Amino acid sequence: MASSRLRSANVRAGSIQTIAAVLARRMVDFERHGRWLPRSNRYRTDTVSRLEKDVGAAVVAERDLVQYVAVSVPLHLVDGWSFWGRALGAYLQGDFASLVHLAYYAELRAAMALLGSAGIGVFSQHHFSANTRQTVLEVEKRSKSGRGVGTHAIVWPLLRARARHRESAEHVLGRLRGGQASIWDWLSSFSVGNRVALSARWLEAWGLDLIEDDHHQRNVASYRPSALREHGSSSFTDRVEFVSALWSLAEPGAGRSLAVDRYLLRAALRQVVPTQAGLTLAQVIQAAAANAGEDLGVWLPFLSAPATHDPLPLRIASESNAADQATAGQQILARAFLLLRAAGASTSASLQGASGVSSWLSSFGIQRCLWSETQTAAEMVDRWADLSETLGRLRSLSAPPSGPSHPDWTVVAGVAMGEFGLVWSLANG
Amino acid sequence: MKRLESFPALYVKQWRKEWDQVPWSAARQQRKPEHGFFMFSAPASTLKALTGVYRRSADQRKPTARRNDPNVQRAHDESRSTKIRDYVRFGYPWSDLPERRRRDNEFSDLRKPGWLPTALVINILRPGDVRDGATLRKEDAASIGNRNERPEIIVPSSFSGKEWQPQSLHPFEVIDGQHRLWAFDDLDSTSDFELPVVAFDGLDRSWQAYLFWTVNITPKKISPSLAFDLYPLLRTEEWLNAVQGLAIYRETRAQELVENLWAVPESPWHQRINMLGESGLGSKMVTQAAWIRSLMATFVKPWEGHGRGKGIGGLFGAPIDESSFSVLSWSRAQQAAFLIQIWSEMRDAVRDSKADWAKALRAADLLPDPDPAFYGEASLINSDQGVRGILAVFNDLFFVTAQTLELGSWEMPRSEDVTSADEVGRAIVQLRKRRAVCEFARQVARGLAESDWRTSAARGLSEEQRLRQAVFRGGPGYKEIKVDRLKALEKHKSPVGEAAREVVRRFGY
Repeated sequence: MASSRLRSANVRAGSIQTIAAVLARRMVDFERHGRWLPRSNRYRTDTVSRLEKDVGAAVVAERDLVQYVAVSVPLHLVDGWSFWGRALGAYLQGDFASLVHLAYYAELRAAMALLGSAGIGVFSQHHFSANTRQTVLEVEKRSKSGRGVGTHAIVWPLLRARARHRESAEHVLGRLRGGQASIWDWLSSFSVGNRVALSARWLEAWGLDLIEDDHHQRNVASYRPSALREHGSSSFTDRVEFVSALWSLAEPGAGRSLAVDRYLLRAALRQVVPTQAGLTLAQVIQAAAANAGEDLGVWLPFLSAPATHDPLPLRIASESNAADQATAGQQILARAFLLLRAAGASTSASLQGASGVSSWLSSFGIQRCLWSETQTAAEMVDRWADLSETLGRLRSLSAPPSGPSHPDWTVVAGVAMGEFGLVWSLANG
Repeated sequence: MKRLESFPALYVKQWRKEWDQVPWSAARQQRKPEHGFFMFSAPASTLKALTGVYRRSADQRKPTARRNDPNVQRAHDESRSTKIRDYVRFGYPWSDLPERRRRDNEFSDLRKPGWLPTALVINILRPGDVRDGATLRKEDAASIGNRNERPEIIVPSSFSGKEWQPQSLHPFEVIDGQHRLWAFDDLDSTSDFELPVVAFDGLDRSWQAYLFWTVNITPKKISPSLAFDLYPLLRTEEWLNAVQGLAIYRETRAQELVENLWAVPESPWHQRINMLGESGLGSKMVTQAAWIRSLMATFVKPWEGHGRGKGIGGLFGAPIDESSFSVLSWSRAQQAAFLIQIWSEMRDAVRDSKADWAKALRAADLLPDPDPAFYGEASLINSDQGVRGILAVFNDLFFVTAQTLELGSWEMPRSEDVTSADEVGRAIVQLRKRRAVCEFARQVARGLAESDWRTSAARGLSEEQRLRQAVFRGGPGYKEIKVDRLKALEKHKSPVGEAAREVVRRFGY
């Protein structure tokens, strides 16, 4: 779908502040009554069909729709991480067809969470932005037939358009952290334009699979018998290693940061260098560390390392056209992870003024069997030790001399709990 | 003749012989100033009228001609003056809360006074002074008088009150503090809320710019971490929770302490922490993230257990004396030194240990150095759970004995150079002179070293031992290891045993 179908001004009008304010109110209601949307919200059920009808009659219930967009931000993120976790499990089992499906939908939901936090809601054939007055504007020009472009076709152009806004860039980079400072602050002596361009470039690269023309892989996975396709030569040991590498990037740090954040910081600084005439990487790092108030002695060796030192998932995230399913699976898993990280960052920003986030996550974790009793934020973060333990078991089972082995489903299931990614993005440990 | 309004003032004499050497130059607007300045206070509304600081909007009273407004060159950051206004009305942190939370009654107890104790800095223009083509006329000029042998600042003879507009120029130029005055634009103009003022008399323009620089730019804004060091009482101010202030302190402080543990040569963990979570480092290292989580769960925690008086707090994050709410006012360097000392005792105790578990780990490792019993792959000490367990035990034992050991009496002068490894080194030297503290740490370490610190994957374990050690794996391992070690220490007939029994009692283990 051409970006020219978008109403740029309306895309721009999507208000981060509106969504944050409405979401904060909804969290209060959720905490008290266990409801994300009030019973009176028109779009609480049969969302798409009711909206279609209301658009046709030009009587869209705007405040209800804005509420819906707001609560969909964390809820798309829930689904995105869940899909990603199951995709990981499918990859480990060598089920590449399921992997592609699930990872694609993980990316789609991550993108919808990102858009939602910017005030943009995607609804099958009708798509809106919520502005500062809590009214809604259509973001797509109507075709002659009156039909809109579907979800799968519009998400990418919208993501691309919105990624170029300063607010959206700050929303994401302001929550990815290196130490105590955000990437946005690390880069504060470099122009805002550079930072916005960086964020946009990342989102575009990570959202590669969402480009309509590129749904080929998903279609093949959907309709062609997977056993007839080239699987590639990845062994179970290789797959365990890749899964470990991915999960290692999700290790929670302080203040809702994940381990991947510092690798993104490293990549950001590398990408800033060509824009700074006459400055070396070391000088850029020095300036950035001073902005961030971080110890150069701690950071310089790490930040100076070349891209070849990045963990495998980060190195392959921007690659496509893999020769075999296994490699393609790795690439899409990596991209989905990164897009979910970005979405987690923007969701965290949207939830900043809200109360009850920890208790929501705790009860969510009980529902999803992450734990069996109420957890504090610190306890939720401590669950990393459990995942780390499970990955250790997996590695020892698959490594020589006892491997290559295919352990039973209980171990595989343990690493498919993508919900931990959600929890660690949002819990303030 | 009607007596003009005046404000009693103090004269602050500030001059040094060296200043006579400064190259004064009226041509460069750097003429020699008076040898001091005045201090007084006046209602904000009067100051606004005398300085001409008003928000520039179309619906204002008769707008001051641009040339009469000496403050026109400064940009008004509306959000800043709004913030100050809200602060004056409601204090901090209420003034920083988003609108929705202000409407919520839950936060009404966060309202506090909005004092403005820092002085505006102004210059009192003299008759004949020229600004942007306008000359200050005598009737618009303030003057400095003397009453009862005290100086006083006398308003201009033409001054008629809050709505006054001069015919020529406003007599006061604001060097610093405009936003404070702008903040009063929307506040009740009948209020007699006064602001303190530092007033220079006839200061040349270039010196005003210089003053602005020295007042605003050269002083370093202190970091929250330093604020908590300079004012330790802040660590227990619960209102800071509303603005995540305490969480920021804990996170920042935990990170700083881990950096010290890694960077300071005397530390057993010098260069032995995986600071940036990298893989393939060669030897086993606990990640910085894990260390930070552990410090936040132990030494920097606010409180754990059933509330104050029944549970145990973090030595660096909670009051050690519930009756007076006094916190241990140690600086970051002292805190780092303490951690390094307890770990040094732990390392030495393990090194000296002849326990079977330690011998087994050494026998299984080809290299004796560094000590496999402490740093080895199969050592629980050099693991996420081991680090947490040891920190938890040390914190809790020292917390309950803090007063007996007089931890609060250890003071060191504060330094703003808080990243200095030298300062931590000095703190270590000082701490080692406190025999009772070091001896207690030594006894704790020796007691801990008696326990089996092998991981469940260590070679040579019997099945029973393996199952026993497996309990310390994963998330549950954090608590299991702490409880197990405390219960072992409970059996000691010593101050350590006594402290362990107290901790066990408080937690109900």
